[in-house]
Amino acid sequence: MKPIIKNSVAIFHPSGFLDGNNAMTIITGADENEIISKRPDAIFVSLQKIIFFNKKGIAYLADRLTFLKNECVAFVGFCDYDKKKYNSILDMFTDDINFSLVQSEDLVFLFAGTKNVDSKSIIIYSDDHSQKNQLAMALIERKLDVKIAKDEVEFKKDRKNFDFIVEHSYIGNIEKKVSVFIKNNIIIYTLKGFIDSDIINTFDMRYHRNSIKVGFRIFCFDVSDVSSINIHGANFLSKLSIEGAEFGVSIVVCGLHSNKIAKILTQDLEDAGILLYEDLKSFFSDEDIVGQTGIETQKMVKKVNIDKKIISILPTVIEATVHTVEVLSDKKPNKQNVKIKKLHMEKEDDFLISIVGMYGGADAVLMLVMDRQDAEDVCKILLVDEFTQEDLFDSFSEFASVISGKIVQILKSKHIDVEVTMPRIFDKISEVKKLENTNNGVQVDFKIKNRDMIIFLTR
Amino acid sequence: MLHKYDIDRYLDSIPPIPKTIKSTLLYLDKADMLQAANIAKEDVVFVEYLSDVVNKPIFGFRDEIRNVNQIFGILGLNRAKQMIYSYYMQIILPKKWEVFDFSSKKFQDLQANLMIQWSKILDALAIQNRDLEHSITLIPASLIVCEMLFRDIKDTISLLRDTKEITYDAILYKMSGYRLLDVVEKIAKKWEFKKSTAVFVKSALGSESKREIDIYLRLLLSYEMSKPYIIDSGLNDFFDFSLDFKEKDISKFQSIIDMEI
Repeated sequence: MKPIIKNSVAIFHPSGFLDGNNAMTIITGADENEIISKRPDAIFVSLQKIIFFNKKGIAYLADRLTFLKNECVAFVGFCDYDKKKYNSILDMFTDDINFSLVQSEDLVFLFAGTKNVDSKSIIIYSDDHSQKNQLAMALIERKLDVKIAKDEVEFKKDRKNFDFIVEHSYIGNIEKKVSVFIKNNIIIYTLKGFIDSDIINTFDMRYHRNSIKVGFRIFCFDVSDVSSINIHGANFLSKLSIEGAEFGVSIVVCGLHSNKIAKILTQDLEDAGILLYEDLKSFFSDEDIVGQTGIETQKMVKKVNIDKKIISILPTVIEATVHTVEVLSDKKPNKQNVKIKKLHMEKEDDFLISIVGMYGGADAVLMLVMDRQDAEDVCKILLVDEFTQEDLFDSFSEFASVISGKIVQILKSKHIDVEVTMPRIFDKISEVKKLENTNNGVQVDFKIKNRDMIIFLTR
Repeated sequence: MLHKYDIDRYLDSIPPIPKTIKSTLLYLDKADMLQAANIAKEDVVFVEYLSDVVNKPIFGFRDEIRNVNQIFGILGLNRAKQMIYSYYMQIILPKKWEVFDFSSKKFQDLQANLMIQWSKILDALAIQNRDLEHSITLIPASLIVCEMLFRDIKDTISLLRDTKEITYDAILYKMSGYRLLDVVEKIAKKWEFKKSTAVFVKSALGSESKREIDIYLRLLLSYEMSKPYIIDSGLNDFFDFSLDFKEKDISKFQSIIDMEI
């Protein structure tokens, strides 16, 4: 059964009865390989549609989740259950629980993954004091605002005032790698323990490079919980800074006090252009850098021209995009013209823009610009009747994932192996223009009735 | 995109029930098993289907049976009729499945399992209305309908389902305004199923009905759709109905179908 992987969280959604006979068809060897290749931050099995489960079924899945946890150094467990299922699982595994239990799928994205949840308010309650602390710590480490209800009375009184309510949840043994989350368009990596040459293995370089590709420009390493950093750890950070400089990337390190690192290494970090802050709070109060919102840069950005490869994949990109729009919205985009230029639009407002990075057999950035009305139409299958701006962004991101998935499939049939990043969504052309400030690209203009749709392919 | 007219076109393409099969059913309605078997023998495809299904392990016959008279005799009137209705699905069964990793053999397994288990449930609930026995034969049609309707856009739909947890039924509804069971109901009408059969299926699966029989139909489908061969085919979360069951109903269901816990 294929999991849905989104924002670096993989979730399986089985339904019906779960026992020892069918559990092995829920997470198969092929699914494990797929997950290991993508290395998500979290891997969960949703029990929302499970009517009945027995210990054999849950134990088998827990075993596979533990395997994946070790392979991917991920946060794993079960989610989407009621209190009865929660207690039943805890009763089944009284000795040692190697996995976590998170009451709903939405809550999983608070504990792991790259979904932007920093503006949400959260209340936690557990009658197990140690678990209450574990849950709170896991969220506080991700710099989320958490209220811990001191008792059930306070919890019941206050819960209605919060966006997220964490209860009936259990944090198993977490051996998190470098945890990552996004706040104010800035990617924050939280490091722990001793930072040495092992950071090369635990740091997800592919995620980092892809984030640069889709426009993130500020990367903050929070080392508040780090005991010390040796020369290999410092060199790693310096290399990241130097490598990112050509793309205008700023590397920030917060919480690096003199007792954690030799003075000479601190100087090396500064020489490599790394910005040092006392802690995350002082960093976020520095408007000069945070005000760049992570998508602008004042540094020199390397200019990269489009190449033959980009031109050769353009027909595939057009085919996949137009076909997907037609299937999901019943509208036919009519091609107007193709030009090599910087992204240009007659009108600047009322658009949604998705940006997807492609790498491997072709190195490119795909931007899709759609009129908001058309964007809502292509997303209508994915949207509920009454939706928020956040719902629309999520659905447009899913729509962009369908297109990029189709591009990957078509290119694969032509023996070009390409991988793609998760889409980033914008609703301001001005932000996107800043992002691809200096690069030319191939712009294909379409009309859907009298409205504009643009495919912009660049490097 | 799928439109209502695509669905209407599909419905138009569904052939009528062959005359021999209709005649067989008429004789069964008159309880004339001998004449029914004699007519049925004329349809070699039906005879092959019949012997394939009844010789599946779930029917529990020790020796292989191939003779139609013998099969009808062993099955009895109601089960023989159920077989005829199940055979209706063969008329629209695709030779090759493209949307799901399914096959004719797996489809027959599903039909046989549903028939046997449903009969056990009706017996356990002491339900006398044997017309309800035939309703189970209609449900697998929804799999075929889904396979045929989504065939041309299967890649896009598959990618869509890779990014969001959404059922085929929900996609069909958002695209065309039809639910899968609406299409199945139209097929039932075309094939002159009793109106009450389609109404029962729609009401049991299309609502959160607390009627005992409806609850057990939903439980049976949930159970059958959780089998490994179904999960492997990509059909596990196919039906989009309420999964809010009481523990006592689940326990009773497990006991009726002898489920290993």
